[in-house]
Formats: sequence, C-alpha cells, structure tokens
Amino acid sequence: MSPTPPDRARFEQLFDRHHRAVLGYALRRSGGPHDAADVVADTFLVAWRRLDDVPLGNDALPWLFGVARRVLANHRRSAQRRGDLAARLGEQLAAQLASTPLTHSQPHGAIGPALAQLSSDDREILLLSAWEGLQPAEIASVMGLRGATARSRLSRARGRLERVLSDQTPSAPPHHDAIQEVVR
Amino acid sequence: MTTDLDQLLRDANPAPQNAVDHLDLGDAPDLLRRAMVDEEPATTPNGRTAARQRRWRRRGPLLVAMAFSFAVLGVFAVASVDRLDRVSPSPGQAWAAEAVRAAKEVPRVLPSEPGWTISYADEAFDGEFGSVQFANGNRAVELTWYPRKEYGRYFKDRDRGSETDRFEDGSVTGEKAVFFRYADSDDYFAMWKTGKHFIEARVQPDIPPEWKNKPMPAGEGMGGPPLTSHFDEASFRRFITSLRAASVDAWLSGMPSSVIKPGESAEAIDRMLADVPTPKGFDRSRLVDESATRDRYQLGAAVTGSVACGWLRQWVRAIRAGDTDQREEAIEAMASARTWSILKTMTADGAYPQVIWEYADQMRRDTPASPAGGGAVTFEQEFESGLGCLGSNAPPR
Repeated sequence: MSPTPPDRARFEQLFDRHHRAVLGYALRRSGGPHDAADVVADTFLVAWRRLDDVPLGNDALPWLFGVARRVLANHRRSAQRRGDLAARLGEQLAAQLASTPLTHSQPHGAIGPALAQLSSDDREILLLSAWEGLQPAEIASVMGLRGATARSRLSRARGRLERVLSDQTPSAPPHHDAIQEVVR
Repeated sequence: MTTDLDQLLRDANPAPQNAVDHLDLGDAPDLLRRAMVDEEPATTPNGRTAARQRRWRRRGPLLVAMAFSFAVLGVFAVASVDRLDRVSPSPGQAWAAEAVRAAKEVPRVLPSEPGWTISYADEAFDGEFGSVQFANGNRAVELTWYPRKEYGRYFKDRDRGSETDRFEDGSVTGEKAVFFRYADSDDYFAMWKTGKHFIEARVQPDIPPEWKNKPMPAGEGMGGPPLTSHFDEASFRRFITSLRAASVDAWLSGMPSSVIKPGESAEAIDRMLADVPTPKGFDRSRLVDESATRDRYQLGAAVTGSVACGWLRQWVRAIRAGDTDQREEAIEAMASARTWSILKTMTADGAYPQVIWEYADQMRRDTPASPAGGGAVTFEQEFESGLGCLGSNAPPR
C-alpha cells in the first residue's frame, strides 16, 4: 500500500516548516551535529509513520518536540546512527558549525550547575519555556501534561531553580560544554 | 520567574534558533525528506510493512500511546480512590516512620465537604513542593504547596490584571485566601499561606473519557476537546473554605491505595515481582533506589517495563547470536505476562498492560532484522522508546 499524494504533500509541508526547529531543539540538547541530525531523521520518520496522529497547524511543532524528546532519550542509550542521509546532514552541520559557531558568548553565572541539580522534567520544562519559547499549553503537549499541571510545574521548576541559585556561592562561569552536559 | 533568571537561561542557550535558521544545510534536508517519503512502502526491520503498522495503529492506537505516555512521560492514571468520609483512622495504626516523618513536614488539609476523595498525589511527602488532587465525580481540584517565602513572587505572577479576575477573599484554616478566575473561563484558583508553606489550589479540567490516555494529549487550546471544570464561583469557594487541617493519621489514611508511601517502595516492588520472572542481571534494588514514583500504577509500569526491557533485549541479542535457548527463554517469560498479577490489577486504570502483552505477542510472531539498516526506526528502538527502557534497571543491551 502506497501513501496517498495528500499524505506526501502534508508531510513535505510539515518537514519544510519545522525541520529547522526540530534541528534546533536537538542541537540544544544533544552532543553534537551528528546526534542532532539523527534526532531530526528519527523524529520526522515517526511523524511520517504516524501522520494521522500529527496535529494540524501550530499544534504540530509541540507534538514534534514531544517525539524528538523521546527519540533523543532513546538515542542516548542506543548510540546508533541513522542511515546515510542523516549522516550527510550531520556532516553538513558539522562543517557549518566548524566555520560558524552558533554562539559567541559564553553562558555566564551559575545556571549550568544549578540546572544540573534539577530533575530532568523540571529542567526540560524550564528549557522548553526559555529556549523554545513555548507557552504552558504547548509545554503540556510536549510533556504529556494538562495545561494547568504544566503551569504549576513550570512555577515549581522556576522556584526550585531560584532556590538552587540562591544556595550557590558565586563560582566561575560554566563552560559552554557544561551546559550541554547538563541538558543531556 | 524574574527577568534575571529568564536572561540567565536564555544566555545559556547553546544554539539559539535564529542561528540555527541561518545554517547552510545544503541539500541534506531535501534528500532526507525525499528518502523518508520514498521509503514508506518498504518492509520495516521487524518484518511489518508500514501499511500493516498503520492498520495495527488504527486497531490499537492506545497501545502505542500508553507505551509512550505512561512509560516515558509518566502520565498518571487516576486510580481507584478511598472515600475520605469513610476513613476512620484505626487507633494505634502503625505507619512507617518515614511516612510519619514526611507527613509532618507537609501542609495537610482535607475537604470536609462530603464526597471528595484524594485521587492522586505527586510528591505528596515532599516538604518543600508537592501536590495532591481531590476529586468528586467529574470535578477535581489540585492543591500544590510551595515554600511560604515564595508567596509574594507567585502572587505577583498570578495577579495579572486583565488575564485574571480576583473575587472576594475568603478564609481557609484561619488564613486569608485570595480567589481568582481566569478571565472568561471556569478556571478558578486560590492561594493562601499556611505554616511554612503557601498553597495554590486550582480546578482541574474534566477530560472526556474518550480523551483520557490519548497519545501525547493536547494541552488546553491545542486542538483537544473543550474543557470545563464544572465549577462556578460559589462552588469553588465552598470547596476551598471546606478544607480543614488534618492529623498525620487522617492524612496518611486519606491517601488512596494507589499511592506508595515513603518506606513502602521496596516491599511494593517485591510484591509486584512475586509472580514475574526476571531476566538474568535484573537488579530490583536499583529500581527501589531510583524510583521517585509513588503512584502504584506508575510504579507498576516502571517495574514491569523494566522487566520487559530486559527480556526484549535478551531476545534481540539471542536472535543476533543465533542462541535458540536464550531466545525461547525470553519468549516464554514474556508470554507469562498475561498472568502477572500486577498487570491484571493495572488493567482497571489504564492500558499499559496491553502494551506489554502486545510486545509479548510480537515476540512470538516476529523476528527483528538487524537494526543496522539505514532509515527505519527499528523494532529495537521502538520498544526501547515505547517502554521507556532508558533509565530502567533492565540488564544493558
């Protein structure tokens, strides 16, 4: 049974619209360009296979982040690479990042070690808000929570992070890598 | 969150999206997208065609959903509850010392209105932050507590002018409570201080049965069903002001049987595993140490998921190595999942047992191909992700 043309068109539109956002999500949390490329490949493959389940419109991106989150968790364990095409995307990314780093400024303050002290869920909720710019309802979609629960958990995570920060003595700024280590 | 904290987090972003948007990726994305679409009719590594996968998905969307949502995301199930108004603490009832110690540290309030039960508890024994949910028919209210010193900041965050309407203050356990409603909705909440904490109480939306246990449930306004709390101002006020301080005994007695109290995890896990064969190398003590789950359904999912991960990994390894004995042992062990007591009791609260049974059936039917093939989500990855094997204490792959 072949996919229908409307399926293809919808998927292609979904991919074109969101693959950069998913790539960004993966780069912010994975170890490097190859891992991020793998996450993009796996995430959209799941989306293609579950196209009927992908929400329409703006709801699609939180759904994709939700898949990427699980793909990433799985990928960390399996350390498997996708096929040649994902490898090609990874190579392209690696080359680009070598010549054009994504950030020039070093993260400062005690945020890295402080984030490391939070639970992975608290951390992810904070980062979905701060890095992906998601609203609580969208965070709920990514995390599989209800909107009200996401709101209260976001508040709680913020409270915990502030508390950790206030308990820390000033220290040297964490290196960029330390931040990525934290979010893995 | 303060502006400073927001800024700190933003500064820590290793890959800002606007920078990612400007990366030159060449033709790699186009090739990747085309390859995916073209690959669809191909046979997947575990022998199922994509079309067949779709039919399976239509037949049992809940199965994949539950695998994801319960095992990976930890979505909770509303478990059977004990009626608070039936609870009569037995004199001299012995609670585990850890449970008593923990209960003393949290703000303990219970509704005096009849018909309400504790339906769910999350970190209910955490002295700093925690929450319990009370339910009565199709209405539910979640109480979350925070350190008292945070009250001012949270209040400021909640009192949002046009977004929230504040209505007449009330009193809870002798403390002033402030009531709010989100504009143009039946979404109510209240805040009040008590002891070392302050409490925020929020009505919960009534999720239609057909939407419960859905895959990646949509949040409010995210294409999900219309949600209502079934509260109005008067009934919300009545519920909040009916809350009364509870003794440690009443608090612990009021916890539903679904909640594993501090000090009970090891015993609960042992009971769950009593009739469950575990793979070689399975370390139940790690499950005890690592488990933050205190809901019985979630703990059951974590325990049986870990066992299943171990057997599935053994099965995959055995097929690769051509080890018939190991393969048969794994298939036989998973086939026995139909009789595992813990899964049978969990069926009333959700579909996680069906997920395990589906994998057991699949082990009997199919053989996985090498996961080295490019482009496809392998069966191995499917169960690793679906069962949340990451972080489980199953023997390593």
